[in-house]
Formats: sequence, C-alpha cells, structure tokens
Amino acid sequence: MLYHVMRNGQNYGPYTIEDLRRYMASGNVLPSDLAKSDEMAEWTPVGQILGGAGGQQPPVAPGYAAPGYPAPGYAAPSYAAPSYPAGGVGAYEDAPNLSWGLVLLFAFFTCSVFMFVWNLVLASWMKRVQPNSTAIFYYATATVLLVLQIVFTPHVLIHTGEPGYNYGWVWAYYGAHPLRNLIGLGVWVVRIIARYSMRASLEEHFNGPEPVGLSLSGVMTFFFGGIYFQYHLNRINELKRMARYRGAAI
Amino acid sequence: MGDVAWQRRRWLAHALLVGGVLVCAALVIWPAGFFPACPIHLWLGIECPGCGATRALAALLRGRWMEAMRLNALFVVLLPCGVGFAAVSYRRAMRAGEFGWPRVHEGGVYAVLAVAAAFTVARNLR
Repeated sequence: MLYHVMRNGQNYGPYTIEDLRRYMASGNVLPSDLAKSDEMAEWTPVGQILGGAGGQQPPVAPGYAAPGYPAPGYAAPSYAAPSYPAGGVGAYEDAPNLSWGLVLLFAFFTCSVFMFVWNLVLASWMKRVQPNSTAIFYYATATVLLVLQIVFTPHVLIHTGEPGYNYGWVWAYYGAHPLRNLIGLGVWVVRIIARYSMRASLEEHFNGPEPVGLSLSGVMTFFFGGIYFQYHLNRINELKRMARYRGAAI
Repeated sequence: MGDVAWQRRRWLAHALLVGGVLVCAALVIWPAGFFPACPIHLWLGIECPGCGATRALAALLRGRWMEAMRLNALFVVLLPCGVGFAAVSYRRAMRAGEFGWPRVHEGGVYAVLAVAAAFTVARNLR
C-alpha cells in the first residue's frame, strides 16, 4: 500500500509503509504529518498509521543532521530534514574509514584474502555499535571455511624448469579434492548469508540509533558485499565529520 | 582512545608487520605462492588486475624485475605506493590517540581504478 504525505499543504510521495517508518525514524517525517492511501477516506497522522500497522517507531537517539544526503534506493522527501544536535555525533564509534577503492584494490592484489579480513573488521565494528548484529558470526565462519578449503587443497612439491619460471622446487596444486569444492561452495553460501546479515544490521543501526535513512540495495549487496558497504560507510563517516565541524563552529 | 585500545592496536600493527615479513620470506622459499586461487580467474576464466601479483612479488624478492613486470606490471608500479601507505599506517598505529588511515586523494583512487580496468581489458585481449 502506498501513502501520500501532507505537510503545510504540500503533498509528497507516494511512499511505502517501510519508507514512512524509515523517514519517521530519521526525522524527515513527523508523527504529526498527515498521510493517506487510496483506500483511506481521510488524512490521518503518520504516527497513528504506523502504530496501527503494527510498527513501533524505533527509538531515536540524538544523532547528527544529514541534510542533502542522497540515500540511494529511494527518493528522499524534498522538504528539509531537521537538524540534530551535533553533540550526538560522538555517541557511536565511527566505521572503519578505509576508502572503498583501496579496499577493492587490496582485495585484487591479495586474491581476495584482504576482503575476508576487512569483512571481519567491518563486522566486528558492527557488533560493537549494534550488539544484536550476527554478521561477525557468519563472516568468521566463512573465513574458517576458507582456511579449511586451503587445507583440503592437495599440494605437491614439483620441480619447474620452464623458461622464465625456473624456481626449482615449488608447491603447487595438483588437483581438486571433492571436499575442497564442497567447502568452496560452503564459503560462498555463508558469505552471502553474512552479507545480508550485515546489510540488515547496517540498516537497523543507520535508521535507528544513528538515523541517516540508509537503504541498501539487495542486488548490490549480493554482488559487491563489503565493497558496497564500505562505500556507504565512507559517505556516512564524511557526514559525521561535517557534523563535528558544524558542532565545533557553533 | 584508551591505553588498552592503543596497546591492542600496536600489538596488531606489530603482528601485521611480522606477518608481512613472514609472507615475503615464504614467497622466497615457495615462489609459486600459497594463496587460494583467484575466484575471478577460477570461475570466469579471465585475468583480474591482481592475477600474477603473488608471483610478481616473489620475482621482485628474487631481484627479477623484468619477470615481475611481465607477470603483473600494474602491481609492480603500484607496489611503492602500497608500501608507503603501509608504512604511514604503521607509524600512525604506533602513535597514541585516535587512529586514522592515511588520507588518499579520492580522484587518485578513481584514477588507479580506471587504470586497473584498462589494464584488465588489455591483458585479457593479449
């Protein structure tokens, strides 16, 4: 069901109930704003609609202002977001702030080993700021499976003497053990579960305690995982940095 | 930042340094590398910008510059930047106070990614 929102005679939307819940959590929509769906006869306060839809408004701790932050995946209401006291910016530890481009490059040059480590770093931070997050468990499991995959890869000491590759005795893979392939599949299944668990935790945190109206694409999460999360965390960190400057200037 | 967190960070930085040295030493002994196979090469059959980096590092450690360039020229060119980044990060980790990664110019990162994309296309067209 889609809802239109009315404020000061201006009509916005339509939005889904989830959008409304998120906007109210972020402060962009007020409980006193009026909303109406096609099925409804009269305009009703948003707070009343969300209460009736079985949704509890997430507790909004003092956060930081996020004016103009273009949260991807949905069209933000065009009216100005309210300002939050900049003093709330330091309430939660900043996310690891390595540039997403560097994370991608490091992952390339380490056969994705860096990505496994970095995912653990991100999930560990997530656990600290959002204690109910279970992403760390899945990422740790994926890492253990990766190690097992390497252990179950049969190695053999061979002697190579091709031109340009004359290293003498080297360790080399000599075949694919069936168990290795099975574990390899397991690594990817657990990684996908970990990505969606992390996505849920990020959205919960950045629409609740730190309300910036974060919405993460399911498709991008599936294909890019940690790189995609890091991209958004870099932007959120930048917002927090700006809010700190504003707070210092006041 | 409390002393405990700082001590933990220093311990981690030392561990990473020792780990890096051990990896380099192991690559001298086993130049074929011991990392898992590149998933991109494994499943798509194409060479990603990182393919050959481990062997290129092994070649560099043995003083075989030309061979390293042949294995992965992009890695060889970017390696000094990577080492510099690691060195600055290590120095910052040793200092008390809040840790911050060295700031890298955003345009520079995008430029390197664009070069990496062109490099990937070029090496797969050979």
